[in-house]
Amino acid sequence: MRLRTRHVIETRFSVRIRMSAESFATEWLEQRVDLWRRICLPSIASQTVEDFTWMVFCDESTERSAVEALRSFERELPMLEVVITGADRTPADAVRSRLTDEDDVLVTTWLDSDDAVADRFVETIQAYAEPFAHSAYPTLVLNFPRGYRFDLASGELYEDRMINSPFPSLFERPRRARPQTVLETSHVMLPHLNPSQHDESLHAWLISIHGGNLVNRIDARNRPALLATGAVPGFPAISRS
Amino acid sequence: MTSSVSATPSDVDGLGSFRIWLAGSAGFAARLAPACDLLRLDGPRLPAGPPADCLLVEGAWLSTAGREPAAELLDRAAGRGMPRVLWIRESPFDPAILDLAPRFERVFSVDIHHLGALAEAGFEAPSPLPEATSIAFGDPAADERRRAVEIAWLGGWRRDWPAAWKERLSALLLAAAPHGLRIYGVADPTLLPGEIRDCVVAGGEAGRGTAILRDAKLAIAADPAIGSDGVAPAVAFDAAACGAAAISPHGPGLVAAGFWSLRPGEGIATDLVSIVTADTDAGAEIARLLGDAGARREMVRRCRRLVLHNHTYAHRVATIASAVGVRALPDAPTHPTRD
Repeated sequence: MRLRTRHVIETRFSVRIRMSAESFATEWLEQRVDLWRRICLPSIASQTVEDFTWMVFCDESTERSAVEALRSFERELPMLEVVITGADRTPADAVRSRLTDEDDVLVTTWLDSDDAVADRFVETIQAYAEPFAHSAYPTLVLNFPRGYRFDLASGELYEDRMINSPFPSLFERPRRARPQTVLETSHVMLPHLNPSQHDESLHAWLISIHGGNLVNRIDARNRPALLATGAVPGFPAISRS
Repeated sequence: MTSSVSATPSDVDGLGSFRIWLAGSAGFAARLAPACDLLRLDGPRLPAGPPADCLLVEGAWLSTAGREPAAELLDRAAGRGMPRVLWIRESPFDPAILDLAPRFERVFSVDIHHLGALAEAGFEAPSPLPEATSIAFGDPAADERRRAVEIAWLGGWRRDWPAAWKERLSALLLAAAPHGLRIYGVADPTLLPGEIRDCVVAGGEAGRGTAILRDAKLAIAADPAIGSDGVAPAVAFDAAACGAAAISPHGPGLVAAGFWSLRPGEGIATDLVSIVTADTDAGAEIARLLGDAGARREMVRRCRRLVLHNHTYAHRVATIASAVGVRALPDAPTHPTRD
């Protein structure tokens, strides 16, 4: 029988982590929309497969102009779905609401709104659906340890490695247990709580370094990426200095 | 709303069908073989018949085989369309390995401090790949009260270790000595600092490592052969499998292997294995661990969970398979994975 896998990429654009958090400032939203449009969106648009949904979550308090700016791309990118969240509607609720009784495997993938993924990222993730379905694992976390850091100010690209990067995918069996979805647990803790696979087949992700995410810096672990040209293989929208 | 994707055929029927031809030691073969279809090569010659999915070369084998025979083996494998993967499991490694960089698709090393040199030599995407455990998790951790040994070290000491490493390990052993340290597997106690020679258990431990770890409350997780903090020693994984808490001087290697967690409200915690540095009061840390059975149990619980999910040799085989484009998963463990 044909395996039915539902794959949802989840991006928290403006989601309240704590209900006491202040509303999102206009300037911050504008900067985030710009980063998302320049870095994140093109990487999804360039995926080698199209059978997935990309849910971009915005809290109900998000300014309408920002939401509309995101939604303006839904026509050209059919997998894109801007979803409004709130206290009684979490990202996980949104994902679960899309499931049908026929879905054998649910895959949810974490993607931050200012980061990018390689063009074979989704295809590679989906290649694990069948092995997972045929295994005895109740769940599985898939990590890609290899990627890049891209300094937007300088245009410099660096090799990066994180054994548990912020781009995990969680495989679940929705007919056996209520899915948790990947955003519900810290990406650091996912491999502690679930059987894990680390895929070394590609530089799968790119973290952008910009003024708004000072915790993501270039450090001693990061070597300049030794690439022959300004283009970055797998990331057609990224051009380095 | 897009519908479900169609199944993508696997290249192999499960990880057990992933075929590796190994140029390496018998001991290494024994660790990998349960997870895949492995054939250990008899010398630098390839078998006849359909090529394997991967030629895996152990770093130390290259030194033993000699450069020319190794190069010929790699070239023949390339001629038959086989991906070639190198796993360097020693530190330091033979610099002659660097000359063979163009002949490998990928290289892995147990020591994170190797990666820069390997990249400069032209290896494609050098990546860390630590040792793992090959001990079955079938039995639950032995009752704490039945563990007769306070703190155990399975030994290993090399004259050619860097002085700084000998000093660091000596400091840890000296701190452990007053707390009931038992040292196993040291053939020549005169290599050790005089203050700890009385801790050596006569008769060695050859083949008894698992039994010793199951009988110890705390294990010193120091690699028996590698004097570098850039590795995650196999004994750290084995201790978890055997239910012993662990204390180790291999901080960077263990952190790179994911031995850290997030504590709500506290941030990052490197507390699955107690990591000692030059600034650590190792004696106080050992006393704390030995005096708190509950803390040890919690460390062991979280460590076992992490190791079971991430750090068996089956996981290593699956990672190597992915590096050559094969997506397959290890068999699921037969015992419960949820706490």
